[in-house]
Amino acid sequence: MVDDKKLILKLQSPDYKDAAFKELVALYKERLYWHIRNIVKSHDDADDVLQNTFIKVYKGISGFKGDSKLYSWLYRIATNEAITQINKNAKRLQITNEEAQNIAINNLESDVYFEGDAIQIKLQKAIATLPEKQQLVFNMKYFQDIKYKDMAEILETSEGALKASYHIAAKKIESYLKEN
Amino acid sequence: MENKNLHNIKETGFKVPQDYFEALEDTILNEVKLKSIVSESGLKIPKGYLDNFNVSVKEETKVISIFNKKNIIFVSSIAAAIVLFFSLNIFNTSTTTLDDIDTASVDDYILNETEISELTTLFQDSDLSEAQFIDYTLSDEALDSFIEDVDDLYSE
Repeated sequence: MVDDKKLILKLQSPDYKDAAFKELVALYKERLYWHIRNIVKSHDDADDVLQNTFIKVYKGISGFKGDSKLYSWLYRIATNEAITQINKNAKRLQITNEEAQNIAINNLESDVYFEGDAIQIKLQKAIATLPEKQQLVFNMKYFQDIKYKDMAEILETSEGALKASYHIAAKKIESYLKEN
Repeated sequence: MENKNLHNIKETGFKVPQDYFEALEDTILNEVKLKSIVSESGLKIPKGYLDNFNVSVKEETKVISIFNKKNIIFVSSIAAAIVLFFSLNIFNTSTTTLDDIDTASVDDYILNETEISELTTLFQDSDLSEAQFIDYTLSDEALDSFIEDVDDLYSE
């Protein structure tokens, strides 16, 4: 994309780097925030992860070769940072990642930045029962409506595998909602 | 019709603080700048320190509160036992002698609380020598009164 190329050039130029970085943050802050928030659940963790993501982008942009789209590169960093955050939470509490996720979901009921009802909590619990990769695929497709093509670049997986993964995830969630 | 129940839930329920996204660019850029200037604290640890790090945990002395329910009951029981112990006067071994009792009380006791048969057991023959009766002088009036009483007793 022409716009991406221009932005990358400015980001890699010392004279324009800060202005271009602000432009980049303005362009992606909301999309990346919601992507991260769907993974880590709490606003505070999402805020930390978003900041860490952009800090990594600022530091790493000079080495960005343009082999993948800027968009997918940003999402990949955000995804890795969000998973790192879950790992850190689990390590701090000396529990598994799954248990850390369950705690995060149980905390939603008293979270001031959650206004969902019982069915939305149940949906989050259903998502938490999925393997990590299926959770990512489901969140990205269902809540953010990211195209399989873009998702394939972000997660470095084939479109066919992602479609199958989403189909299985949706079936599991549907049956969880019916059973619980 | 993909998922009858699932497709009704399109919102996550997550929300953000008011104006969170406002000026986020500046906030993040400031953070980035700060970290690029001072990314490390400068604090160092000896080489291999954490590899050999070991903590010997001594058994912690358990702190027991003296004001728990069990202790209060225990202490109260001991206090009650001590009070009862002394109030029963077990250590008071002094015995009351006949001299300590006034004559009116003894008269009253003999008249009201004893039978003649009990009274006789208190005396030995040797105690009842005639001399004691001879030496003991009764006034005429007292003797008259006694005889009248005895007469009354037998006439009833």
